[in-house]
Amino acid sequence: MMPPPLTQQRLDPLGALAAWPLAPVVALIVVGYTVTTTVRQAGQIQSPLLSVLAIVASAAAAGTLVAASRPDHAPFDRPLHLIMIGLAVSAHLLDQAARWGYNTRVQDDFGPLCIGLLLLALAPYRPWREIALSGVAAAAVVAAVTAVQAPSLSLAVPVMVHVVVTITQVLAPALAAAAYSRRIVALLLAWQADARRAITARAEESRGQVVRAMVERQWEDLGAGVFPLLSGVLEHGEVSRADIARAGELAGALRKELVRDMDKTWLDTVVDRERAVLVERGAIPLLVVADPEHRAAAFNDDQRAAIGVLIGVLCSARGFDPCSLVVQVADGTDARRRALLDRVGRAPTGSAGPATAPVPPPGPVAVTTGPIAPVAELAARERRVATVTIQVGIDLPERRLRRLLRPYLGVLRMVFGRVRVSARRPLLMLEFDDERGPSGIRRALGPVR
Amino acid sequence: MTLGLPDHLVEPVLSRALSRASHWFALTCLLGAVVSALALGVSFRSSGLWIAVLAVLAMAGVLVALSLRHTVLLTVVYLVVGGGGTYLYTVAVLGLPGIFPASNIFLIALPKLALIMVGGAGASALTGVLWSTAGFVLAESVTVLGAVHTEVAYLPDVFTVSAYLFLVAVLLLAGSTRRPHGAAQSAIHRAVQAEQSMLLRQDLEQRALELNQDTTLNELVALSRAHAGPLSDNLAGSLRAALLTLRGTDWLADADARSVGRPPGVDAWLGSEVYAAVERCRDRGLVVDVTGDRSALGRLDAGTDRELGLAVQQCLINVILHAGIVSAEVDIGADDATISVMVMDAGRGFTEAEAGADRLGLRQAVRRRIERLGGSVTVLTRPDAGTSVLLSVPAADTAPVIDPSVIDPSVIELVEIPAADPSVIDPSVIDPSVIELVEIPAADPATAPARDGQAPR
Repeated sequence: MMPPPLTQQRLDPLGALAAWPLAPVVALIVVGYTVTTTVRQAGQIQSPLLSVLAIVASAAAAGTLVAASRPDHAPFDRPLHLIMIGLAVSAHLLDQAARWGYNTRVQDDFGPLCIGLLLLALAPYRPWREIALSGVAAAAVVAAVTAVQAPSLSLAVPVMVHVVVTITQVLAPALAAAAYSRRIVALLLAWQADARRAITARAEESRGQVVRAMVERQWEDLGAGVFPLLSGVLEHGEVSRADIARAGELAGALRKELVRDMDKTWLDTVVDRERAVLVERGAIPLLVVADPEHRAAAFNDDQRAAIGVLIGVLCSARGFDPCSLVVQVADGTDARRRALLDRVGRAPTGSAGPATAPVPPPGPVAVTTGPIAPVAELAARERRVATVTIQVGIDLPERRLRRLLRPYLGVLRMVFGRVRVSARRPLLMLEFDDERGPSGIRRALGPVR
Repeated sequence: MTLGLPDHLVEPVLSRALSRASHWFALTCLLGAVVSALALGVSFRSSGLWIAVLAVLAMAGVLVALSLRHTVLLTVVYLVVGGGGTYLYTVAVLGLPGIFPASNIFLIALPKLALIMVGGAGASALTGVLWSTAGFVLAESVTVLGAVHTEVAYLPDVFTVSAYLFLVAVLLLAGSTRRPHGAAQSAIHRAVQAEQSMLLRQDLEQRALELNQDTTLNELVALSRAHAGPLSDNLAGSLRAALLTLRGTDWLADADARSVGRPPGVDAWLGSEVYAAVERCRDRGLVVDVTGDRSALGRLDAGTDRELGLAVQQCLINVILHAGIVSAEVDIGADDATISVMVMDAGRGFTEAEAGADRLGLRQAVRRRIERLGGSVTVLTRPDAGTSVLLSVPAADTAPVIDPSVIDPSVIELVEIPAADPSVIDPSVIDPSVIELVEIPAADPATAPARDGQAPR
């Protein structure tokens, strides 16, 4: 698996979210500049059709920027980057073709500046090398077009000067965006390394305290039954029937406890924490974790933090129904996932079973997945997907709910492959996939650590 | 990693990144100005243009210095040198006879754009706005002067003005950014922190769990199976040792700190935890026959040795408790990369159908422990034909130790067999979901040559 590109959007999703308003502003400037320059220089235009096409292409490039940088579309990926830049360069070529031979001044053409502005807007979303490369490639095209039509331009200066005028409009913003992207990624990585170190150090500091608490609890647990029994037997030097019965009883209880604790993952801990908070507030919560295969154990730190914080936000949201949270982690190829999906809107929020009970099997709904093509099957085998589904009842207007969740979903989108949100008041369903290669699966089945 | 910036770092970090970006913008513009001036100079043979080239180069030099070291002094020097350079460049370009009708051309805007992008010293976006404003005013002033000097009409150019406005807008946005999501960011930071504490706690809880599994539960089970009457020496010894362990706190200390390195000169086998485990089980009355390359255990590091010892102990305890037999065999083998220990008994064996609701021994005390070391566990069993548990752990790479008794896991074909007799055995220690049930093809020497004579009896 290729590592995801290092961008501000990946490393600091909330930062990219904050910078988002710049994208529509740049798009508006691009469209506005395209239209005004075209109208103002109408006299130079020989082919109105090409000119209209140029405006359409430019608007499409601006639209691509807005669509691709939208927070609910994150991350901004390479195909959209290429489409955007392709459209912008086409707009310039169409515009130049529309006024071929009649262009008076290259500095007034909208093409180079629009390409430059669009590349500038990529700074928070794309890796610096790709921005710089696109800038250089676009500048080469712009330079070639300028050089060819230089003889027909009005200013009597060397060709090189015309070329400089156009390519600077592309290169200056592109290189600025690349420099920004590179610098911010370096600064973010440095901060993250520092932060991780500090967090680890703090956790280590609290170690002594945690150890003491653990030992005390252990002694307390054993002091109630095991210690008296064992030392009593040793003291008397003989085993009575009552001792044997008592030992069997304690062993049974302990075994039950061990079995229960052994399969706990961080996800149970997170939900336990929320349950405790809700109980403290006087609610009678019913929060369910259904992760029969302990897939949660394979999630990385970021994913754990993102899910943990999201669950915390959901449980503390106004209008949260304390009997409604169901967190399911399942095989992404599993039909059970579909069952849950299809039940949205139909299932009453109270349908959740007792804590840690597995979600009921899907029954006939499994049919909805239909036959899977051999290729898809193969792909599914090779790259299995763990799908997390969070179902919750929150009685809030959809707009307010989305506003509440926006930053958290922004983070979630960066740490999971795909995030889907569906809301049908009061039911909210969040679904996201953790795509993993074979090694990830192996880890998923491995020990909790 | 998605550990975003906390509020107090947003502004300084963004303003440093924006300042780097604006410097690259400026440098590109200056490069354009130099190339243009050179082209014009070659074309029109004007000495003023050569001076302009030098002035712009000087400006670029100061800019590079400023980009590397953000100081107020360098910022001021850049503005002064930049103002002078822009003036000389403007005069030289506009001074070309009859070429440029007014000052509002992109060519003239190049050094002006570079002046606006001064970036400046200081960590705040507002400081950046102030320096850029200074650059803008300076750039326009020298252009007016240049236009007056060359008697060309002065017109404010749209490039400089819009670049200035755009830069100011971005800087102001950066200065005020992240406020709307500050709460989310700190919640994420708290979650990451909680995650670390949770990992620590989980690690300790895991050890407590293992302790209860290795010690408490085993002793309780042993006691519950004892006969009423006088306490046997074996059981008394093992109860005493258990109480000592449970009342101590050694089990929570770090594995590395806990396992003191073996003193040199001590026999690798006698110093190993596997030996200790075998001895403990012999104390409880089990006859344990050890074969194979015992010295190979010396290649294990202290932590691995300890965990392997505990896993072997659990396997032997399972024999005591569940196999219905009082003897077992431990076979040690090694190759370049792994050390394997096979614990075999000729007891009852078990099948998948014999699963209990509570399943612990193999799963927790053996499998998880060995997998955490990066090793693997293979269980070979069938009813009435004994059980063999093969534990393989990675070893420190030393000279290959070749031993005919080494059990090569690759020759063990795992084949599930139908359950024959799902009765007699206490299923409590067996978790069928995590163990592979396999048939031992004892009849076929080609597939399991290494186990000749060791197959279930």
